[in-house]
Amino acid sequence: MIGFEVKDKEKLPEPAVVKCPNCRNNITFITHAQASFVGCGSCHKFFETRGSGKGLSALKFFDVRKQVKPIIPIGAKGLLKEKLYAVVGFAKYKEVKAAYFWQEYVLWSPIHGYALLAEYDGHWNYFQFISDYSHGKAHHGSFDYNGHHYNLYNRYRSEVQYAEGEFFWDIRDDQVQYAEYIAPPYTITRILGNKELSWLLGEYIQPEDVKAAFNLGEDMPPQSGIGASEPFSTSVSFETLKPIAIAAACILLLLQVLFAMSSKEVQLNSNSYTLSDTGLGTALPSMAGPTFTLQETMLGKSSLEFKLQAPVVNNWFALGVTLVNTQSRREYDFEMGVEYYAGYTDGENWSEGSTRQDKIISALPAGTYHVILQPYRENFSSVNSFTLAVVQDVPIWSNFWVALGLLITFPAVQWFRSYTFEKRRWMNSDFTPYT
Amino acid sequence: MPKFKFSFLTFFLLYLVLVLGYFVYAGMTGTRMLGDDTEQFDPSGPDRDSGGRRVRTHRFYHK
Repeated sequence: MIGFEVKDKEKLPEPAVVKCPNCRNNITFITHAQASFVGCGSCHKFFETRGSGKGLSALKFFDVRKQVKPIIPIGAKGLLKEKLYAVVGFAKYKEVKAAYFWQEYVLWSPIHGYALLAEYDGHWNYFQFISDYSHGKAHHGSFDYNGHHYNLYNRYRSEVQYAEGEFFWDIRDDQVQYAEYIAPPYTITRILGNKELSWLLGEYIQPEDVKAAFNLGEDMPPQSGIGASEPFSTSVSFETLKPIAIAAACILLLLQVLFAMSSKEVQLNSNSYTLSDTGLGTALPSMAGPTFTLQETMLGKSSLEFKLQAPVVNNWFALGVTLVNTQSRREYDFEMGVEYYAGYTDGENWSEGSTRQDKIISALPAGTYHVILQPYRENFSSVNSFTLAVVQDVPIWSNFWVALGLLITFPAVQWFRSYTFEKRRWMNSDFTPYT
Repeated sequence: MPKFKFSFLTFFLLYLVLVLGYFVYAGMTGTRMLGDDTEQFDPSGPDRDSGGRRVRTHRFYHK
């Protein structure tokens, strides 16, 4: 067989078949001489191979009560990460001193070698052996590899509860120490055994992709919680949105500065008005305000700011304003009011309110307007005058803050989702950075 | 011809264009995005007494 047949014709070498010395059922050897250990799927006996033609030497029985049926059958072929693999081994692991169980599938390709497919709580990771990174047996909290920053997530020892199929290492080694470092969707796992030190690079895989790769008919195990290397979002992360939102915010600021600089702020009128004395309970009469013309702008509309000032001290003053467009007869009503209170209480001077108020009337069509004023004041009020100024084409800073709020809404929501997601992920770790 | 996929990112970019576009429109027309301070736009005026005269209601809140 040549590589072309594996790569282009998706063919793998025919397996060798050996009778199990214990139960006489067939044991297949897909990896041929590379299999150093083999477990019989029928009688659960585990053997060491003694070399070509020399048979198998029995090592141990696995407890049949701890047997689990592999979801991906031994011998199944599948195209994973564009590599054609055969499933040659399956093992069920348990964390020493803790009731955490996971399954591992040994994958083999005559071109790409060995890989592992691990499943824990319905979350799948595809592992490949790497030789371009190692920090030996030392304990590191984090490190960088291939542009990603990996943080220590978990350290534990494992024991094998069940195994069948072919293995190139002795899985009975119960002194194996694992250290998992994550940079979702990637994981780097250090496996420190009695005789060797291995490094694996894992990548999170969606269960549907595993199911499709091996053409599995049955349902995949349901997912529980968040996987150690599960990426936050398969669509758009906060890190993707952040630079776009920052760029948009810069454009927004630039536009606002341009609008502020180009605003004409034309004062159309500024006038002081005297209020007549009225009897108790008698309303103040309405007054004729200014008449002004709004200049034509590029889009035919512009903003108008009214600035009211009244000498209020421990009382209030209100002004109803009606704008009447002389051409369309359309009316625009609004109210303004000022109130100012001050005093001395418990040894401290205090004050609240203001004698001024500004109001912006937006998108007013060009044209000539009459203004009718209706003042209101408290009975026995000392307020007997007020000043009203009208300014056309003023910059509206509230628009900038509203637009900025709208721009950062999506990134803010994604950040919050990402934060809670990461916090939940690290709840399963003894090394969580979240308190 | 590659099939166009309407992703979340595309949606976000369109949303940004919409927000910035409306901001430019509001800036050029003097429109307040939060809404106006004016309370009535009915040309005939909303409040009239039994004689058909215009009645203004005082709404300014004070202490």
